[in-house]
Amino acid sequence: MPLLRAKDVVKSFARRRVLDGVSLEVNEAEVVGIVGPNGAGKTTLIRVLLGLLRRDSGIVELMGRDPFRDPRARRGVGVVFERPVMPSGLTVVEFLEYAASILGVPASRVDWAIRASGLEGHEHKFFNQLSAGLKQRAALAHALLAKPRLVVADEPTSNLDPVERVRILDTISELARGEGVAFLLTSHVLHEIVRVADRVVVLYSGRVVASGSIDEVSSMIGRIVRIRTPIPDRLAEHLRASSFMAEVRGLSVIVRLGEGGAGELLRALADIVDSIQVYDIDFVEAGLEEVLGRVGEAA
Amino acid sequence: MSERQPRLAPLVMVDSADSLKAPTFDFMLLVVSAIAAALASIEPTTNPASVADAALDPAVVFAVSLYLAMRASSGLASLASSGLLQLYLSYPLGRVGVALALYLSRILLPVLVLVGAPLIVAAAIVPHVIASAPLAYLEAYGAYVVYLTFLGTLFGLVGVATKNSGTSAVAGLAIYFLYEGVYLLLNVMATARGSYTLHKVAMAMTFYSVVSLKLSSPGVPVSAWQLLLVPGLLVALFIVYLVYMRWRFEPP
Repeated sequence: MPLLRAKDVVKSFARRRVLDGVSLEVNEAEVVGIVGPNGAGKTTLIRVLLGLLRRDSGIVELMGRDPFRDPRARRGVGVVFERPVMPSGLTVVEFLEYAASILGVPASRVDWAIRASGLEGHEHKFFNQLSAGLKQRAALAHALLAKPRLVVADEPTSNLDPVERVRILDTISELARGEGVAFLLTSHVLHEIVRVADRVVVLYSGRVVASGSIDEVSSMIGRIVRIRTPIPDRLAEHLRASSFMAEVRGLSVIVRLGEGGAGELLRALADIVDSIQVYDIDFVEAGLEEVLGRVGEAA
Repeated sequence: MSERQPRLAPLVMVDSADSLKAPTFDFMLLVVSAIAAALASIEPTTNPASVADAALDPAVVFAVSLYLAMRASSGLASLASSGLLQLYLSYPLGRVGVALALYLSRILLPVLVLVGAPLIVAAAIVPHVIASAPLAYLEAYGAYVVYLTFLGTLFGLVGVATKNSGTSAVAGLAIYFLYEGVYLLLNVMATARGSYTLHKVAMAMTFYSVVSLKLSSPGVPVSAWQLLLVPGLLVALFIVYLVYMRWRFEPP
């Protein structure tokens, strides 16, 4: 039985349909990433899946129970919200001790959660004194208190600098691989999700427009190459004439490789290298826009 | 150590630690109320209910009402807008349980403390009067608690419905002065028309006045509906609060 199952979930706010027939599953020890642009419905979906918002229709089963009607569904589920918050009048460790008491877990769990989330040395500070990254770690420690089989994290890396983003993702990855905790993550940055997730669900305008394993999504997008040149329009025109999908972005040309791979591209470039200067060629991680572009083409 | 069931009591404690601190909780109000009660109690009286009235009415009742209108309502609203309420609702506790815990920490507990402190000080000033009829003193205390909890529940409902601390504070004050305005209007009309019924309605709106009259003037008839109006409204509002939190409330 999956830890979390959603089928045909629909949710509207004032006649605006925010979730339109969303279905997904999260199984034991699996990391599932929901990726989508701002306004795709990720946060609403997370709230519906946790039973914090009522849904208009569809089925949600968290630990085999409907979380909106039965709060026991949230036992063994840790939650990290996009905007982490804790009471301002307590230090982090004081609040975590209260939270452990609320959850009915031993106080010794607090020390473990602080260590596992990398919050050591900062637990005696007030929440508002923490940096954005440490706040996210405090929220992760809070989520781990419940001895969770599943952690639901809504944009856990938003508002963080690139270094802290990587650290948080590494911590999540360690917890998933080392402790066997399943994660459901959301992000609008595809390569972050790809870094930690086993499966990806692409949400756009409240609909699941693509889903599958990392390999499936990667093969759907294809490999992306960025070529920097002073005359990108001419280069793009030449590559299109050679049957490549080329798009101009600033002083770069973005090329999606076909079945011929990099060799075919290099051969095409060799033909014009005398007439068009090329500064640099590099492989880039596919972004959400590439996924949505492919979905659009497929449709 | 074995796992236990999730518990509500620590949630009341953790939220009380947050709500009963400055600036959410105004300790100056507590100190000034207690001093005012001490000064007001130094007057010759042999009736415990009169001691409670002297200690609380009108200054403390007015100040606590304003406190509840501004701080308690906005406290609940900011709890929603800050995301803390969402965090509390993510625990494996029922929504009614969370709503009950917040009701205790944000409304009932502040009322008990803000009304209790002046009454304890007043009792310490005139212990011999209180000792003559302690139950009557407690009954008078209970009447003030019921009245102010009724107002607190009203403002709390505004707070969770608006989910905005500024709006809820303004709305709370507007509702309070509207309630006071109706009370004043009924009294004016009662005097102008010589209507005892209107006077009784106005008195029933301030529940503690009816209880005080019953305690201090046993010969004056008090109608049952006068004793039931505010407690009845309190129960009704409390049920609305729980039902709203259970079925309609969605975190912003």
